[in-house]
Amino acid sequence: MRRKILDPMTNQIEVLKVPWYPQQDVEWTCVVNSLKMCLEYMKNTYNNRATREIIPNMNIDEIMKITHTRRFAGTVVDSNFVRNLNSNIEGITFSLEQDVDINKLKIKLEKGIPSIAIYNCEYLIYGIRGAGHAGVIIGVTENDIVINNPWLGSEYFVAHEDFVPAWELEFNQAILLEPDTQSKLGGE
Amino acid sequence: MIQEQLVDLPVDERNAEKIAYNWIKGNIGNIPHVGNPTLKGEIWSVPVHVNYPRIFKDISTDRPQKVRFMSFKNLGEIKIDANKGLIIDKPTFYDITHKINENLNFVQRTVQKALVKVGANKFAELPFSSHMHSPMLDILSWILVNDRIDLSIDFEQINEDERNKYYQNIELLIKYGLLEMEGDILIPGNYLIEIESKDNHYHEKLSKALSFFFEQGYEEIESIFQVIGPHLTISSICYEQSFEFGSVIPLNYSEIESAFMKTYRAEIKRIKLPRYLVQLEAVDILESKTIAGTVTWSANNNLFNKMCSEKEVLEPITALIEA
Repeated sequence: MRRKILDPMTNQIEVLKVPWYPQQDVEWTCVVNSLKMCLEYMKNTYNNRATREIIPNMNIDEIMKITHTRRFAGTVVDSNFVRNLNSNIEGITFSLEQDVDINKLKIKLEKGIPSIAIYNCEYLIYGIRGAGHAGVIIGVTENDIVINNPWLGSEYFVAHEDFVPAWELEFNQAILLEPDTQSKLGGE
Repeated sequence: MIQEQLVDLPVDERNAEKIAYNWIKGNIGNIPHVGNPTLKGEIWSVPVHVNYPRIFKDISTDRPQKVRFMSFKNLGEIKIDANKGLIIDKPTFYDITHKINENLNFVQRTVQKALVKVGANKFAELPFSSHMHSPMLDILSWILVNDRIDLSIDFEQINEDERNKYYQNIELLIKYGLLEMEGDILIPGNYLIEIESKDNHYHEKLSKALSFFFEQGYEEIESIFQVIGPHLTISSICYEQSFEFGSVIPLNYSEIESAFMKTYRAEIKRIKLPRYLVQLEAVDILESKTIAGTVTWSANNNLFNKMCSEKEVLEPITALIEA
């Protein structure tokens, strides 16, 4: 469920073994690719067998369809989006929250669960406000957040002080996952 | 929900931004973002901007190398009642995505203009058989071979649509001095006469005339597109990516194919793509190279540098890319 990697100071740290799905040819599918990473991990690596058995195999096109992701504009991230995820994906309950703090993500990680943070990637790189971007949080250390970033690469280290303002611009939004072995008959 | 919570509360700047933010994320998507709210009377106006991402891959490692953002400002405006927090006016999804598409096309067309201007002689060297049906080639060839066209006789038998296409091209060739018109009679213009005097073979004369038109008439990119459409599309995919990246960047075949098929949806074009690439390499517009076992295609470095020095042509998009 976890693997050891080296941080920028060459200290050994542990991160969740979440596979990375890049989105190099299509610019507007970061939410879709982040969901794909989480689903793959929860389906194949997460330590609860009952959960793994329930979660469906979904390809990028199927996720695009249920999230109504559209050309140029990306994914509409709101309560309907969460409702669609919950009624189409067994084994996980998704929630969309604002004003999430790092501790909440850390608690999830301790349970072996990744989260998807919505943050401002252009602000992170260039200091300019730009598109809201999704990435999968796979580790948090004292100094860094470790993200599987569909644009920039896997196990991407971002210092807390850089991540916090980029996340604040997106009102500290995160898509949180909670394993749910109860079958969601008929959705919510 | 948020709108209900804010009823009867005066909306400050941060609240206005958040209302607009939630509306964009809940109705358009995650790519557009809000600009700074401005208060006019009792209405907050929040502009909608898009900093459109471009991701560049390092082919040798197959990993992302860099992400850049093209800045498209003021694609819409959200108006919010400053007392009640209610949205009173907003753009549609179609408004925003249509404007993103327009801006992306504008960048592409501008790069094509600069590329055609500096690569005119190379584009004109492309084998004529591969050019699309083009009234421009017909007219220039006719004039070179037959010396004159009498519009009242020679074009009388063709249908009106076709005739109009020819007339549009004739106007352009007159505008750039390749033809002259006396009444209904078309004759070579001064520049075509000059070209005729220097070359012996018709195909050379035609190629030089085309080159002249591409170089002088690069602003007429739609008409040029009719002559060298697929070649221009493919080369501009490579040159635009390099321009956005900041230096020549190789692309693999599938990246080119994917971008090419967005312009040409007909499957027959997929079959023709390799031939176009080979022809573009033959005239030194593209270069092929094998990197880490993958065949890649990239802009010719000299031509790319020349294109980038066309500051005047590229000026309208420089700010979009640099931002």
